[in-house]
Amino acid sequence: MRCKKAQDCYFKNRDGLLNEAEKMKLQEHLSDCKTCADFSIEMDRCLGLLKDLPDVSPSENFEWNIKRRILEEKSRMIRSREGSPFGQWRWGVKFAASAAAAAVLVFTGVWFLLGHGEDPALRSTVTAVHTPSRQSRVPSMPRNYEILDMTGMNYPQNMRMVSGNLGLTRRGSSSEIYMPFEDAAISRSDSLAKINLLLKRHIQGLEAENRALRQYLSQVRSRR
Amino acid sequence: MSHQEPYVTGKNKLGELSDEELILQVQGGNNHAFDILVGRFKDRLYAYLFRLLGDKHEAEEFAQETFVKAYIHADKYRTVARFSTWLYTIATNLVRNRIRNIKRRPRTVSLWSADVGGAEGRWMELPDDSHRPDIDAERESLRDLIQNVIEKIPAKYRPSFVLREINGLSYEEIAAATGLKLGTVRSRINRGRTHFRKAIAPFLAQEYQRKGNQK
Repeated sequence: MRCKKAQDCYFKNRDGLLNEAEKMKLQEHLSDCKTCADFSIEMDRCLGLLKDLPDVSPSENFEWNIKRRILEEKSRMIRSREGSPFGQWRWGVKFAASAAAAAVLVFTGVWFLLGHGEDPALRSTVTAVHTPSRQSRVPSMPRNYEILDMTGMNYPQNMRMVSGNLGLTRRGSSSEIYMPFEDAAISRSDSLAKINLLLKRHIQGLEAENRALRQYLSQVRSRR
Repeated sequence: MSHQEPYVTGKNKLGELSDEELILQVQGGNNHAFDILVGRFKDRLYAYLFRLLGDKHEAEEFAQETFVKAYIHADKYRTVARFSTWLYTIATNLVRNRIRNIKRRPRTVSLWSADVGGAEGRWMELPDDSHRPDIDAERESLRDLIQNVIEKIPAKYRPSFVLREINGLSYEEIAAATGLKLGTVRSRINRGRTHFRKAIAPFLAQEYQRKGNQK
């Protein structure tokens, strides 16, 4: 028997799981091997200490505390099963808060969609949109606004191009913004819609061009 | 209620019933039967939890919680297992996370120091208690030491070790209580024993040497 197996057998023997033949083998090994013999003696001694541990008891009111806790637990279960007024009220508050939050979100969204949410200072300065080619069609511009002549490339110094066809500018201290598209006062969201429309048209043009090129290619291929 | 036991009245008659019969009585709504069960198991359960946790208040708290759960879920008990095993299962499940996260509290006796002897640590010299004339105090110190050493057994092995060596449960009962396989239980008990021996043996050697010198 090897030492490792002997130690395993020692534990089994301690738990009463060895038969007589195995016990004999273990005894033989222990009588021949000092290491294993020391191991078993030391283990017996150490584990024997556990038998000397005193009995411990809980406090005197242990059982009363159990009864109290059982009653509390029962009450809690009944409350949760039947639902207390407080519980319903709490759910009501939660529902009301959720509904209010949803309403605020919807209202805010609608507010911005309608263009009321933009900066009032900026909105007051967006006064005119002007397309240079239609310059002659806007004689009725307010007096305090200057008509922008885009055809002559006579851009103001503070002109800022937003896209290929759209420009914004601030003039003097009044910080007015001119857009060379339409002769109507519009909001920023309107101008963005215009940009989208232009882009859409541009894309449609590209698609038509693409289709024509494909047709041309297919015709060339068929000829070959 | 799944019980079919006749309702037994009278403490003497109830006292004659086995644990399993008593819990069936509890299933039938007999609260006196539960009182008797608490009386029978409170010390054993408390001892188990105290040895695992090393704190009297916590042990009592968890013992109470175990009994409350046993009462509330009494209808879930099936007679395939012994009542004691079922009770230990509840207790072990309750403290499983607690003993993993348990922090070492300063004790009266500290054996191991990682600060000394590098990463391996080293056994510290224990204070000589020979000046104490009171034998009870010496025993108390030894008990503290044993409890401290039990707490040093890794949390993985501790429940199986305590259930076997202190509560005297069989391998099968421990396997049922801990939800482990029989082979795993055996392995964990033996590893727990080895840890315990390694931790306590130096102290014992010192004790024997001291007593030898006294003679």
